[in-house]
Amino acid sequence: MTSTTAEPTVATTPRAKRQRGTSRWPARLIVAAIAGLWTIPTIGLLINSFRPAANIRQEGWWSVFPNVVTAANWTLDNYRSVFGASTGFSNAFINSVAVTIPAVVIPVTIAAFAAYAFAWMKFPGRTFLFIVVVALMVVPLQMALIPILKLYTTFEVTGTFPAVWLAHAGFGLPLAIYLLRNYMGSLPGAVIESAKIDGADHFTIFRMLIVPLSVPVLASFAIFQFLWVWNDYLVALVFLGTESSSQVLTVALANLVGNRGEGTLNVLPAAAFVVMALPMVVFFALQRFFVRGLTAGSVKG
Amino acid sequence: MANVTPPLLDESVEKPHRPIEELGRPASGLVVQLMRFGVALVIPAVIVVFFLAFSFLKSEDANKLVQVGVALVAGVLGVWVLYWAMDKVVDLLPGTAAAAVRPFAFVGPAMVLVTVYLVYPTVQTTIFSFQDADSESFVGFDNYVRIFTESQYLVAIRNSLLWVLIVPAVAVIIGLAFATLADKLGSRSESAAKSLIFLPMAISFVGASAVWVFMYSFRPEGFGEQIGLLNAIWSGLGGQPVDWLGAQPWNNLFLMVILIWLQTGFCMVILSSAIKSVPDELLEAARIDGATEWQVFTRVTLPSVASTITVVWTTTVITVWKVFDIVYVMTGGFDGTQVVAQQMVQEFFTNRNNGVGAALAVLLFVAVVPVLIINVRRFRAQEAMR
Amino acid sequence: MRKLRWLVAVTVIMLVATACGGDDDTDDTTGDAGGTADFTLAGAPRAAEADALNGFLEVYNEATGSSIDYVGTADFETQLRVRVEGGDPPDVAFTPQPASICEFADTGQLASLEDMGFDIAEMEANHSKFWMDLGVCEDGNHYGIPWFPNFKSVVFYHAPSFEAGGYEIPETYEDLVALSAQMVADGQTPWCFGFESGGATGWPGTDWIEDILLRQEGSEFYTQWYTHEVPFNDPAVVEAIETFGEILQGEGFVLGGAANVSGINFQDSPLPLFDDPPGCLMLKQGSFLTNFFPADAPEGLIQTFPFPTIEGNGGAMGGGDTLVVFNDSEANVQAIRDWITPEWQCVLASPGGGTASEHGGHGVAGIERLPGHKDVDPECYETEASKQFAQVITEALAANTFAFDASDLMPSAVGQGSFWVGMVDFAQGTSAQDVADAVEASWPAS
Repeated sequence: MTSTTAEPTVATTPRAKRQRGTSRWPARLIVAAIAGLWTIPTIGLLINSFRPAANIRQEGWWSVFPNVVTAANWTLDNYRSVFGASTGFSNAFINSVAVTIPAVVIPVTIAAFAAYAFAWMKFPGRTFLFIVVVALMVVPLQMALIPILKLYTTFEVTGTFPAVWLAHAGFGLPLAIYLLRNYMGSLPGAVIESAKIDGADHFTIFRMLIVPLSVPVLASFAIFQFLWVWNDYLVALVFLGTESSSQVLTVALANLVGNRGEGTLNVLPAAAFVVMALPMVVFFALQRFFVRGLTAGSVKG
Repeated sequence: MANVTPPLLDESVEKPHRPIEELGRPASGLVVQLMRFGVALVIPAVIVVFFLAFSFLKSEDANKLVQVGVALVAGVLGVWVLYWAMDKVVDLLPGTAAAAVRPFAFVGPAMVLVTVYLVYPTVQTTIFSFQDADSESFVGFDNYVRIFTESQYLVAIRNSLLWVLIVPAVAVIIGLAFATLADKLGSRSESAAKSLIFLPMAISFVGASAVWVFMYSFRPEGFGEQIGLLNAIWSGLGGQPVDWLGAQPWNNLFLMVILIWLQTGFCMVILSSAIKSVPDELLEAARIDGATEWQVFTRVTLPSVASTITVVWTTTVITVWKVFDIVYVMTGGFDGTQVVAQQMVQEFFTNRNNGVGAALAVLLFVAVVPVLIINVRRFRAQEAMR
Repeated sequence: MRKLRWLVAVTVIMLVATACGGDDDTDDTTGDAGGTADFTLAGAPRAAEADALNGFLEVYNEATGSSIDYVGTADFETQLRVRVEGGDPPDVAFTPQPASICEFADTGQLASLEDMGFDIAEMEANHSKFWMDLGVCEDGNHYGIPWFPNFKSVVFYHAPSFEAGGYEIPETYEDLVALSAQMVADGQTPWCFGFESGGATGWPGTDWIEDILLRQEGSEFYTQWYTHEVPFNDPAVVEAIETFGEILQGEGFVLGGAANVSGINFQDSPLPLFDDPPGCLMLKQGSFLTNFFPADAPEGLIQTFPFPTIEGNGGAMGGGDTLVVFNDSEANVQAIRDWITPEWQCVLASPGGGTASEHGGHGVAGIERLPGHKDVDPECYETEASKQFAQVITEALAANTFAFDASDLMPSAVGQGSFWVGMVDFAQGTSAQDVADAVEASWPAS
């Protein structure tokens, strides 16, 4: 193989230094305005998660601002409930991690192989199969719960981790294949051709060439799938069950809210933020992969 | 500028896109077909079954962390082992057969999973849609007649169409605009700004409902202070508190805002990487030629990211068709806010009417066809340069 | 390639090791025959109510050596249905909607009381025949075991205002209407209402109709009503709705006006009672409303009186939780037998078990569960309100006058659908006849 490197080099000049052709301030203002607007609802939630339930019922969250330092306005009780003994927090957290990581890796891998095949391999029915897969994106999750549960019960695998992983993989594959195939299809054919001529087989091309080049879209999908699985409630509830030892975080925290809605306004916000912590960490970690400038003229055929 | 090597994602330059052929003629014939199916189906199926034999993970005795650790490693490695094994098996076949069979090894596991988890329920749902509420006897098209004549379903269909017209367009436009503008900032500010737009996606739907309760909450006069931001601002400006989610038909718009708030992050993230792949040289060239920023955007950036826009729009449309949680939690579908997916779940699970619920589901399946046609046309155009 | 080979080798070894090492294929999902019960009880209550149930189970487990725990689920009815149809039901569950009992029985996964050896006649005497009959299915067998009810025929009122204004507790509905008019004349607003409840908006209105209809027509008609032997738009039902309208749409009766009640969350509806001066003086709701009172509410500020009689008829209406058994091992059945006795109901009754419990209470402050057995001692309770309710309920159970919440007995399309919507429409001005007609039209054909 000629000068193909596994890692495409980043664009030559750091963006900050380049001429933008126009001053940055209008852009900055608009961006700040939109970002601010977007965040206000979340700020409300954050503030309310630290307030006592009675206060939340009586006054809006903005009313804390004149009296920010008054201790009576704040409380950690909501977070205490979230981490409290009856929730089984650490156990649920571990379960969530155990469910989520494979439920991300499995569909990403399977979809990557399939997307490569749809994009770059010739076989009968590829267009038809691809359209079917994309069409299946619209299948609502709720329709699949009972049939799949019946299937699982017949094989007595309900309540096992692989049952949930495969369910999440199955539900996430259409979107994954769609996104990945679109991206892979736009990679340069010349590069792949030359690799072929050099004697590489599809598997090697996939491993050495396609995957490194597709890192941005793989990372993008990985973060979406991570969020989806981490925040999922129904699939884990139905396939993993409600036993205290096998609850995932979303299920455990749903039990903090009473049947007639007690706790919706105070405990639920705290729970929402706690659940959100890990995905945000993952997002920041993976962000460098999909904000990195993509190859601009670095890979020569 | 003629010597610039064509960049990878420059769609404005139509690159030849041919699927790669293995060396040698691909073989045909019944044997090969069988081998294709064999590889595609049997191997993943066997490994899946072996996988699922992990019933020890149910037992309470083993140390939890050990269980989880093994589960993680096995889950993650298992898939790679599967593909590696299949690849080796295909290699064992004679050259021409291998070429014909290998795509199915790549696509096989995906097809198996998709068939089990998606195709099978779809088929069953379609059958249900022609049966009665308890799925005991066939009633022909009765359920379909119902959903197209009864007013509550017609309202749901009208609402869903509105959602599909408005939400993806707004989310994509805001996402695109934000991605373009943020691209002009320094990388730290850009990263921070994008994280803020993406943040709502990290909050599950249930958390989002709590967020928006604090925005839309309504209390009539005399029932205490407003705890919803919109009403606080509105009454601060002198108006009467408004029941934002109760006042038809605008309550639909307020619900749509929630989904826009949630989905724009998705659109923005994907569009952002597409925008970043537009080569600077092209942009600079346009600027040097005297184009304004707007022209640069519309004449260089937009065409380059056109296919990504289609992808993002398609995905959002499908998400919007399926939206259920938001409507269910915020209004329960009352006050004229019902949508097809929420009605479907309500019929299926609350009213225990499998027939009508399934008919609504099939409506969802069918409704996505126009979107698919657009996508197929794009693929054909892309691949027409063979 | 070498690395990959090592990976494969290691993986295979691990897989084999784990498959051999931890071979607990047989999980202890069924209680030992004749041994102690070991299962997870499934039900709807979560948060503090769930803690109370678990507290009760802890006490029970200690006393009997069983290891039962409880987990609540959101959207419980739906989840239970998914599990049952998927073939993976819980061992024992309790449901707030008796209507679903027979649907589960039809799948053949429920154990009948006759098979489990319960004495039906005795149970009918203790838990009221009405409630027992709710669990009778097509084959004539009983499938539901009454456990604990809640009480809805309650009006909360602002005691100091009643004293100050010289108002008397109304005995009849007419008195209640007159009292409301009196309060208006005195410059007060008599009633608070709150129908909003997310996807369940409108349900508080159904409680009014049920109480009124029960008193106006008696429990036989009430039964015919929810079993659809009489149509929903029967003139008697329309009349009941109009009777409700005497209060809901009375001039100046309702704080905020009738049109706005669907926008007020039912959890917020008692708040004006705690203002100074109170925004309203009365509110009809279920006994669980105390869960939404402000934490700093002074004791005795808000008291209760039973929903008044109509034409001389009283009644006790409420919902309740009924046990169903999917796995009838001896140990499981024994546990259930124990739970429905007065002795153990007393433990579930209050945090400390009051003065009457032999085993103490469930330990969770603020939660009291009303009795499902006629012989439960009101002294098991710690608050005056609960003692009163317990008294009324045990009497109603003994006399078989306890009426179950009809909307939990109707098909879900009505009971959790059109009936609720109908109440919202009525509040916003639709006529009683139109509301009744709409609900009747929505009743499922089968």
